[in-house]
Amino acid sequence: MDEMLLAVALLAVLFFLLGSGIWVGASLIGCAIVGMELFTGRPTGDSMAITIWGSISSWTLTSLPLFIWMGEILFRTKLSETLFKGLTPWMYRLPGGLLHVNITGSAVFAAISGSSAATVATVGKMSIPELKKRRYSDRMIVGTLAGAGTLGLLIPPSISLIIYAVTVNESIAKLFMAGIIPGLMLAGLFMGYVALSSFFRKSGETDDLSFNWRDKASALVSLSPIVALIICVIGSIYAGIATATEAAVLGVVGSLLIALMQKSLDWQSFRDSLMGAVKTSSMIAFILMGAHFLSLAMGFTGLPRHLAEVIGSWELSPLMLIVILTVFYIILGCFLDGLSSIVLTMAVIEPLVRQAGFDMIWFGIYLMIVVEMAQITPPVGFNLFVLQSMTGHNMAFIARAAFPMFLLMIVAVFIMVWVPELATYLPNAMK
Amino acid sequence: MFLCSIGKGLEGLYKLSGALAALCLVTMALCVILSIVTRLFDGYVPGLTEIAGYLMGAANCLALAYTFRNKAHIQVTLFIEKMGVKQQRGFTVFALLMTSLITLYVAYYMIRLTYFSWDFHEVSDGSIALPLWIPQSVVTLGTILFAISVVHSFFEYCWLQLTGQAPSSNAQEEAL
Repeated sequence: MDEMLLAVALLAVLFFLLGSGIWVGASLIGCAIVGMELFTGRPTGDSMAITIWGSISSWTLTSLPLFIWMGEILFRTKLSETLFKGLTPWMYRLPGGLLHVNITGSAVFAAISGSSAATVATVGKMSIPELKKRRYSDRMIVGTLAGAGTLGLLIPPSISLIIYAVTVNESIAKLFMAGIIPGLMLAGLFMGYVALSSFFRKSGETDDLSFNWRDKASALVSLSPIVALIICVIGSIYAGIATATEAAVLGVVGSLLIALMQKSLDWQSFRDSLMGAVKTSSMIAFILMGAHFLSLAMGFTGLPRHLAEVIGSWELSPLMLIVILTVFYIILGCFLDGLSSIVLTMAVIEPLVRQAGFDMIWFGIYLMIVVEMAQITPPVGFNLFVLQSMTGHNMAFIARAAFPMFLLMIVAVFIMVWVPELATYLPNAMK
Repeated sequence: MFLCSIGKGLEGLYKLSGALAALCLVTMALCVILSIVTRLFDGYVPGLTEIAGYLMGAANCLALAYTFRNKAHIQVTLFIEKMGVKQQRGFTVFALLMTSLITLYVAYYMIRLTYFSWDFHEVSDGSIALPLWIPQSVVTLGTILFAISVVHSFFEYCWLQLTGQAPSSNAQEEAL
């Protein structure tokens, strides 16, 4: 048990480094150095250099910067306007009205962007002022956006799914496919909630709107380039004709074409999108360097194995284990951003989850939902920060508005536990 | 004045390495496009996947310093934000100092790795047997610049602190 004590000390070091404001990547590296020095006689620095080199130059990760770039390009087009105008004629008659545009818009944007904060920002840019003009309640506008933004991580392409795939050595393509149905299901739950709540508390005025079938058809046409792009990217992965990286390049080329068509591509926006992609990608790479090195160090400490054995000896039911893990991730999400909590915990959680007999593809999708739940709960939640700066409401208001969505996501987790095929059917059906 | 011009020169260096990183990313995309196109015509260019991987590593590492100076790296500011101004400043100095030491450590061992690859004539696993020190030296250069940029920020913050113009923390702006 002496070993256990040291391992606990190591965790304390990690939380001290993180908490004192040292950059996440550097904290992970620092903690791993301490761990290697305490637990092994191996040359720490040289092991680190090899691990870092391996983690940043691997071919499997190459889809990441490309998908980020694709999102950055589309973020700078007139996409938010196109989405709003294209979806409105189809949504305004539903109970709950244009609030559905928030959700469906997020679902569509999620299918071209891998980040939930970018999804919230893009959809909200157009819909927040428009919905306010139509007197929808602020609470519903903010709540639906916060919730639906989380689809960004679930519906492929998803940056967090790529990170998860690389961390646990699973196929990016399979994980992407696994995210589709749960993502759509979650969108359905959100829409159902909007429709239901509109019967109790009606808000918003859409009486002046009317669209005939010709308007609806032309709305579809305006959406068609984006839909075509989505089908190309996700379809080519599903059909097995492209790897995730190749699909990502298709996505970059396609979004550049869309930007050209909309005449929103000039040298300035091209350069901005590229530098934005490089920055985000480099930020993630720094965390990954630390995470891979920490995994190596953790492996030497034996902590993950111990933990898996201890928890295995409790003989928990899978449902119980999922409940415990869910609570754990929500608490962790109070301190850490989603990405860091995924890479930080997988070193310890992976053996545990494998031993409990979970399908790693299924678990990845579960993890996305749980991590996203943490993103809409205070005090740390990127979606909340984005909405705060876009609407001017305080954090408490936004968190309260997002709370029903949080509950719906818990419901989604339970549905996933009962019907695991929601996540596993598509990857198994893939060619 | 002398310090000022060093600072300006360094800023230029970070921007330059950021631009090089962007160039690497574009080249990587072109590599993938090339491999798709050649495959369509039943052709094969050896080593493209390896090179794409190396270019990604180069892009990520060359951009580290640029990203750091643009405050786009993630840190946990939750606890620090709750503290008084004095403690905030203390922790900011501490965080910058520790991060400086860690990034210097990384840079030193990356230099060693590259030197050994060169010394032992190590080559890549794939079909083209590229000498590993070539891509590694670019990555290493990135980590060196990164360490320089963190040390730069450390001294800059201390200087501002001493002259009484320091902001209370070096916290990141909200990134997307």
